[in-house]
Amino acid sequence: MTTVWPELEPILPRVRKPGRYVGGEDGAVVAAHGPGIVSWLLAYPDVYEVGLPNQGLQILYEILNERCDAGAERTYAPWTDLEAEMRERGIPLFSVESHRPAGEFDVLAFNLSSELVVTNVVNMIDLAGVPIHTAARTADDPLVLVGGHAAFNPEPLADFVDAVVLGDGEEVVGEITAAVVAWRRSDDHDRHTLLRALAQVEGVYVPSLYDVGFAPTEFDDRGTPVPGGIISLTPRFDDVPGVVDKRTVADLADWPYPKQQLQPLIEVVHDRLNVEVFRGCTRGCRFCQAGMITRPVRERPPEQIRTMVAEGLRRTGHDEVSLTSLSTADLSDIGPVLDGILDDRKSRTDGSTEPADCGVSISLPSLRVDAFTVGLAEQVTSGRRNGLTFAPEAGTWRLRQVINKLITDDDLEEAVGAAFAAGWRRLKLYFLIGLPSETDDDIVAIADLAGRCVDVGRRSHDRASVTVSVGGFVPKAHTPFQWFGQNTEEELQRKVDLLRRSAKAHRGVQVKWHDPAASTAEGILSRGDRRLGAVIERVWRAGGVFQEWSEHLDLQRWSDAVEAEGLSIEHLVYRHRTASEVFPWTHLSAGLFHDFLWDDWQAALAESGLDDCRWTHCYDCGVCTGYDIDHVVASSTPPGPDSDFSPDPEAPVAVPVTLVAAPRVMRPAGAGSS
Amino acid sequence: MSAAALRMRYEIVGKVRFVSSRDLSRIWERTLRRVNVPVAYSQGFTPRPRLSFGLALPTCAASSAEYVDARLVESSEVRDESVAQSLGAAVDAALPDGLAVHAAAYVDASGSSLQEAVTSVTWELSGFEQSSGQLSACADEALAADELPLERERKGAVTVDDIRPLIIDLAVDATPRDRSASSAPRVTADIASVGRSLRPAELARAVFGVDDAASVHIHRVAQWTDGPHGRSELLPPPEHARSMSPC
Ligand code: SF4
Repeated sequence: MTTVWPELEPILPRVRKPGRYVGGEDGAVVAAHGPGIVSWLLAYPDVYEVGLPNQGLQILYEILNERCDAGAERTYAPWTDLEAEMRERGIPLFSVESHRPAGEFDVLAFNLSSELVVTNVVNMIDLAGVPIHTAARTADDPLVLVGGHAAFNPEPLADFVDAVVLGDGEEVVGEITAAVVAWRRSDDHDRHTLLRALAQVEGVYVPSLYDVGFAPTEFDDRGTPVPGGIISLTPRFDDVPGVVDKRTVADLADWPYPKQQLQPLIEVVHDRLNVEVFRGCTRGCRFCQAGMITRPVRERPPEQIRTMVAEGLRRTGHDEVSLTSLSTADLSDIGPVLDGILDDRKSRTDGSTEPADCGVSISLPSLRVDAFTVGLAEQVTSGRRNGLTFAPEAGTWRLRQVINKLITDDDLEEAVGAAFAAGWRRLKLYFLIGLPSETDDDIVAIADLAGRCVDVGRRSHDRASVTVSVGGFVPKAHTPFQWFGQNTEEELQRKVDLLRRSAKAHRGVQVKWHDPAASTAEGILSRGDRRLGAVIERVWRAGGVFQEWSEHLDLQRWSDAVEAEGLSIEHLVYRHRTASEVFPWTHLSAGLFHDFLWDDWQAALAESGLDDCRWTHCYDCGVCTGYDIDHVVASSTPPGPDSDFSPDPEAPVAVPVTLVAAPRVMRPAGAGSS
Repeated sequence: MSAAALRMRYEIVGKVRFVSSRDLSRIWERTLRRVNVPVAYSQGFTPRPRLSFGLALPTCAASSAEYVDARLVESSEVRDESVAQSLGAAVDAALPDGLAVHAAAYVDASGSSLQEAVTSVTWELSGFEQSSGQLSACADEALAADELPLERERKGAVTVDDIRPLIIDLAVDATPRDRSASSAPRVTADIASVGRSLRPAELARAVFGVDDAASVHIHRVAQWTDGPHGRSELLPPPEHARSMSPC
């Protein structure tokens, strides 16, 4: 077997954190290679510590390694110090398990969890010694794939990737493997034949098999070029589908992965056991791409969750488990599930001697904003109550109706009051700025709301504080807000400044913000079409890698490249789109009807909310009906201790959902402080 | 019964030696938890298992003489040699590749800590560009010197220390340690670990003129303690230094 280890080993003492490159995780396997086996290299285009915990990648890793016709290893982006050494010595990108050169694998598959990683994708293809352009590859080069949430607008990567996987990967990786095996067995070793075969696999999009027509560039009064929009998107062959639909696994119970979560040798982000408790979310927040593209809701059975947690903790030796989903407090029977996990831990008969209160801590990411949820958080945290995060997303009830995040000010104050009373002293509130119909009043209201939360908190602690964290809104593909023009960098900065000034009037309120330049760069890549390939290549050649890392992002590089290619940020990012716009992703489907998205956009502008279809009636967004699947939800009401919520099937669609928050027994002020 | 600790002597070789000492202690915490060694925890809001490691091994260095003391909960269970052995074997089986337990014994936790107990360390350095003759000349010169001033930085300030008293012995060997040619010639250095210690990379620079410390392979082969009958290793090396688990 070929390995670059002998060349790599002597340079590791010269780079930062060499433990990133040695693999050795518990649960790792060295993939088999051979004539009848398709070898996959699963790549995460960021550093090891960020990429290793990625659950999507780990799930596919296990599923592929369980197959007899496939094997999988992993690779991550080498940090710039190692990359320089590798390029100097001609060491190619390698897998962390066997340090086999990336170019020797049959498939190089990238997980795209965000848009800004695209230059790292190009860089890693190049480091693998593979031509960066799909058009230049031969039958001997690996097949280059991308998947993951950010692949729902893959057009900016069209020049670089051979095929794109839309949606859940559990089933489709096997079908791709089979297509590669069949192609290899046939006499026709033309790469084009393989791509044509892949286009037949449901959920697989092959960009090179489509022609995209653009209107000619025009010039405005001042002679500035105005690039033309898309006028046609056509398959180049009869057997290539006009629209590619995403894949959805019907029931998570069939996929209890990862069974052997990788336990790395070095510290990584989210260093704990992760168990996915459900996939999909139908709360219908209009800004949320993750919610829109992962419908419907598919819960894992409570018994399976309990087993996966108990087994995982035992096997890994972790003392923390995170129950992951887009909104974990929405899991049916969340209370009993948590009780079960805590009971299992207490009643261990394995002779453990850890102090009872540090037996296990359960983290619940993406907390819903209500007192019931605070109660759950209170139940599962042991030791010091450090920080709790809520995401009201907008400062006023009006704007929260626009974005369909239906939390009233009272809900929030009640949740915050419960949290401070339970002993938390520091809360973080997350907001988006640059939302549709937003005015300066909505921005000032963020500061006022935070100020009121501090006032509520000071009834419990004199030093209660609230950190407001704001991010610039980037309208994403396949959401009702895809027609909305993103705020300019200057406008976002102005709003940040306004918020900071407003927050000064409130004691105990701190403001943190995401760099507006990063939102603009993200906008270019989220909204762009395949003409962006040349832009990405320019930025990459100018050294623009690790764009998710603020110290590496330079927006000027992107604006220069956009201009050099005769495009404009105004056209790509800032302009509002009309009803007749052909989006770069119009031929890709997350199952949502165009009319549903458009009507929901109009409802947003009319400040009208929409129920959660998991607990009320189906409004036919297109997913379940189109794909013949259903929600897999154990309870017909939202979780809550004595929920008197009753869905009314006749209720008009515009009635906002109010989740019933059970009145928790409040502790007297000061309790819990020590 | 007095508070006890389980002391283990272990080896670190291969890819795992590239993890930092902080990561290494996390690996130990997790492994002991998986094997259910009854480790005592610290008090406070975030209780941590009470492990101590002695003098840190530089990242990227190998060792066949690392030690960890795991403080145990008070208990009336039998704690004899065979129990220690079987715990050591269980831990060994659960450790990642490249880490292996070579010896295990109960020690009195009220005695001196690893850091205090170790008085000298034997290092083996290899990967030099010089010939064994050149290395021997450097070693002889250093041993014959009355003082060896070394400039080094400490918290931003440059200090000059005499490192000669820390060098107990230096020996140069032209034959490889194992079958890898890169381990010849090699220098065996006995270094006192009292006061401010001398790191192997500093030794390579000061005595053998190696500027590029990353090019030298470092291997810790013994950690010594002083006793009534001269110095001895903290725990004796196993006769056939391999892992304790049966397979
Ligand atoms: S099809 Fe109906 S039930 Fe399914 S996600 Fe869409 S609105 Fe909800």
